[in-house]
Amino acid sequence: MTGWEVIISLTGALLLTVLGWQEWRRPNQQRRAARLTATVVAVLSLSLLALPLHLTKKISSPDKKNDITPAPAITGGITACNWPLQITTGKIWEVQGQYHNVTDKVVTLRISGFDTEMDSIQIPAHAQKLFHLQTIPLHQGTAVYRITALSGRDTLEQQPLPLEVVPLTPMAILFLANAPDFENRFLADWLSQQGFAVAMRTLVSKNKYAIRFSNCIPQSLEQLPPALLDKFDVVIADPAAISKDVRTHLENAGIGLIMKGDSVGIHPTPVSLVLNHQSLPPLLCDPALSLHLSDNSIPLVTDSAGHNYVQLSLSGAGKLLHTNITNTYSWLLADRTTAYQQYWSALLEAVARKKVIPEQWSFSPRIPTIHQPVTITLESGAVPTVHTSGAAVYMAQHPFLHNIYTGNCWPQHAGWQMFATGNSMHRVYIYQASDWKMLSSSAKKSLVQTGDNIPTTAMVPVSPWWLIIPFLLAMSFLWVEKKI
Amino acid sequence: MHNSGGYTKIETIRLKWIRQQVGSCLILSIAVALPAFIVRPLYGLLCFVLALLILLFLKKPWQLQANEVARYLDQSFPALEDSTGLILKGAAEHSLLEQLQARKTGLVLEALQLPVTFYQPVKKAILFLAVSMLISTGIWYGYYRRHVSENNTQITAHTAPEEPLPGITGVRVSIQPPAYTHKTLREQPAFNITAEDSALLRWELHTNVKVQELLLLFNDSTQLALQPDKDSLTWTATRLLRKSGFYQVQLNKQLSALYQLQMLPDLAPVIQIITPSPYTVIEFGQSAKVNVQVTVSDDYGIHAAFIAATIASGSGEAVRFREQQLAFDHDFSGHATKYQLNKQLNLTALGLKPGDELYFNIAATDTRLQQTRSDVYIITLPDTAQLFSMEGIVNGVNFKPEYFRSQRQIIIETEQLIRDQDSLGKEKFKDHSNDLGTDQKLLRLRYGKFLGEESESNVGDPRVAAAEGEHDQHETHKAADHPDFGNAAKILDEFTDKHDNAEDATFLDAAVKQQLKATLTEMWKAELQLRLYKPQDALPFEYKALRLLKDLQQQSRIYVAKTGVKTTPLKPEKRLTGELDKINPATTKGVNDAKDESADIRIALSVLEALKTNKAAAATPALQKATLLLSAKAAAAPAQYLSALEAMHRITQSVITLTDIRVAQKGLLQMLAAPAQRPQAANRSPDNGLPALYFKHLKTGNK
Repeated sequence: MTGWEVIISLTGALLLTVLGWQEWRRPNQQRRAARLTATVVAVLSLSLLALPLHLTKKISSPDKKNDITPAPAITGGITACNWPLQITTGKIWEVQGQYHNVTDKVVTLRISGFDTEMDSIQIPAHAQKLFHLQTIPLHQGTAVYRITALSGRDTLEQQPLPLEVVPLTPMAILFLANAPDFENRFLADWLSQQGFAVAMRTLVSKNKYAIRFSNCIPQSLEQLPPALLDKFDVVIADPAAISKDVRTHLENAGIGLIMKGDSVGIHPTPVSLVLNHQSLPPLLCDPALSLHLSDNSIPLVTDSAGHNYVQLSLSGAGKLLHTNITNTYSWLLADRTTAYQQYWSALLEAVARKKVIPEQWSFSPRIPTIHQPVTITLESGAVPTVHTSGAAVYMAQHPFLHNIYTGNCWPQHAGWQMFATGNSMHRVYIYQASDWKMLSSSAKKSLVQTGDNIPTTAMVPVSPWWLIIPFLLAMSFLWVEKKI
Repeated sequence: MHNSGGYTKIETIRLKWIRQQVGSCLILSIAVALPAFIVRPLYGLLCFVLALLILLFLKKPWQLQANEVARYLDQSFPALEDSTGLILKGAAEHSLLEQLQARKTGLVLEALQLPVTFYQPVKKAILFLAVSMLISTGIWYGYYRRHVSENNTQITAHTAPEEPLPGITGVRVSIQPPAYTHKTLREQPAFNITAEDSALLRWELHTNVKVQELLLLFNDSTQLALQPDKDSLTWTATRLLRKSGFYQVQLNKQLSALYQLQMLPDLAPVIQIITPSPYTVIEFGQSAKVNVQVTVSDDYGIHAAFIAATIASGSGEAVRFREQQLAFDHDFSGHATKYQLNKQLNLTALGLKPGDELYFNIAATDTRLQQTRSDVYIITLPDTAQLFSMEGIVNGVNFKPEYFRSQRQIIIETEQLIRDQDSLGKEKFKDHSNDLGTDQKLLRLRYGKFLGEESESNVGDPRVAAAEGEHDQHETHKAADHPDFGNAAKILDEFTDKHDNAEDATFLDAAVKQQLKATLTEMWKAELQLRLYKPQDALPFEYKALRLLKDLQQQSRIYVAKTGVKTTPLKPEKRLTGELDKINPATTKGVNDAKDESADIRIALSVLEALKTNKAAAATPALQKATLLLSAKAAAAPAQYLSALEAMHRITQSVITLTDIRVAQKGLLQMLAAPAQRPQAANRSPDNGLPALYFKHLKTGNK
């Protein structure tokens, strides 16, 4: 408010109170309400006359031929959302995003699949909140989940969340131990039960090894030539059981190495550990055996006091994991199988050698809609030809990077569409035009086109007669009334 | 003008009073109608209207006259000076005095405030309403809670409408629960049946077409043919329900939909022991009475309950167990569903002595004669006398074992005594000799325990003497001089076998006993000589006793050939050399098919999802496998899975509708659990060799 406005409003308020008081206290009490109204109208119109008033008014410029879409009003709904399109069986699937609630009521945002609710969250009224919903998908293959915004019984918004669950490809793990250990035994048992290939070499006497193969072709493990090591994705070893040559080869080949700690500790105490912000059941550990965090390592498993027992660092092309926890098998004995699975899945995944796939697909835009162009980027060794539902997509090679190919296609049908080359295939979900309007780039494009910087509104001064006439009327009423 | 003011006031008071009366009538009628409303809304409404009419008819508040109001005002307010009636009279009829008075009264009247007691009828009505509300809450609580809980236990009928086969006009299923449940026969016009275990089901189908055969096909591959009556339009069949499942009707080769047969099992009784605690110790000073309080409950009725008690007495190897069944004082003939049972266990009456223990558990049988037993509870009566024994307390360095001389020691000492005879004095010599005699006696008694010779008096026993046949030492006792002549017990003693002497009866056999007796005789002779201060003469007897004892001991030794593992004979030249080249530790091989049993169901879920849009491909093997697994589940829990199974059947027969797909997906989803978490390596795209080159240069660059 400018100074002039402040002065006018204060003066007007003062005048109003004085005059109003006088009117109230006049000996002749008749028609008091009418007089007061007239006083108020007079003072108000007088003060507003002093202030120049303006009104916003839409102007239409006759030059433009197209209809100008008005400025986008603030719309509610899911303003941002992202989710992984492909996960492996047994993993948690997370949907994250932002929801803007413009209604007066609490909105429930939920994900549901196969007509069953999986997870939900409440968004309070008039709030813009980040949401994080998760579930473990039970199906295998392609499916479309739905995210729904409900307010009471009304569905405000419903969008599809396509997901493909692929089966697990098992890894091969090599154990090199200098002494028989319960930890190795239980871990090898669990891994072989899940179908993983396990080879274990344990030193039982001088130059004598006890050897175990599960789901693996028996071969000689006396020497460890590079050809043998290349068959495995992770090596779990005691420090003394692994030689420098083997370590060098593991680094070069990108194979992960888990080095187990040497000693058990002098004062084991029950410690509750935390892995990936999830707490694990208590375990007997010696805090004195915690590892010192070096510059290039990440702590994976810590306890509440900040000691870390498992560290991950890069070593060559692969990863190296130091662990000083050697009694996680006690979780299996205590029937805490989920914690054990969670722990070892996390550790082995962090360290495993990456699986080479023949071709890597990526699709753009993130929300491909029907009848809109979809760009396919393929990283492949050989020259690929992509086939989809009867048609072929021809790919162009990248000018500088010889293994990257791009191509365009216009999908004609909504739903899951399969793109295949001779070596691999990939499924993509094509959305309807009405899906994900807020996020789809086609909608965004249409919004961008309207910005031409022509002003669409203007301020128009209000005619003073609107104020003069009521003022005159009020004053004349007061004068006349006094005469009567 | 004044009068009219007063008149207006009176009129307003009158109207107020009427309004108040009508209001209180309304409130009273509501109060009366509220309990009826709780039971049934219609009754409440009728009650309300009726009560209102009655009250208004009785009270007739509109008939209140102004002069009554005036009278009331006169009575209530002395300030009015009984002149309110004047105001009502009318200004024209007033005399001067009356006018003055009327004016005065009018002024007072206008300033009048009604007392609080004016509103009493309304207050009474509100109080009445409050009481009525309390009563209705009580009614609601009692009536509805029971009603609702009954509804929950009642069998809820299958909500989806059943479409019978064309040709079947109606069905009536009568369910006769078993007699012990005390439930009445019920009938239902639907095919989906929920009945108790062992209920008798009777189907009655009405047809309107000519029927050759009418069968009921059950999920366990059994069939039930329905029997027609005379007009062949009503068909009946009966079956006893034993397990859950589903069935369908076959009419002339036409099959109906699947209907569920849900069995409600009769659960075994539940026993809850409130007192005592699982392990009780009766301390010194506590009374040896334990109160057992038990709650036994069942879903249909309790047939019997008792306490099965076992009393353990003795210790060590001689523990004896005695079993007993104790009944509760309650009468179970009522077969109620819940009993609170009490029993006071008097331990001394049961025969428990200190050191004994009582183990008991409760066994309850329900009306279906299913028995459950509770956990075993222990009551211990500790032996306080044992606390005084010094066993284990007075142990330690100073503890010496029982002092006894072996026969060898006695011989050695006797020879020593003979050698020292000259150096010792006479007294000392006699003392030593006597001591040796005592030692020999103790040794003899020790060995004599095996024969039951617990005291010295047995020595003169004629049986012992007769068995040995050597009587020259026993001058003091003559076989003929019997103090027990004519004693029947003694005579019987000679001829009866005493079986209760545990050690004697089974420990040693007769031959060994003979030898032992001979040994004892020699010991006795040696003792005699020693007591007569003739150690030289005692020696031969001592030696003979030793020889016999050795024979006795070694005779009972049995040499058994060693059974066991025949190890390979050791090679002394190879032993302790430390060569390991021939030792090969084991190599274990194994193959695990880590197959997820529910993988087919998971794949079926996504196949069904694909069918929603593309209805072409239906009969894939995944769907068929999933149908098989689903039918097994539906047999066990038809209420949950039967509709999904029917939907899957229709889908596999290429009759695909969206609702069917959704129902089938829901059913399959219910069968699934979250898959186990396993590590999965990340993907790495095929590259053009640049990262490897970069890495190589990094490594070589650093070196």
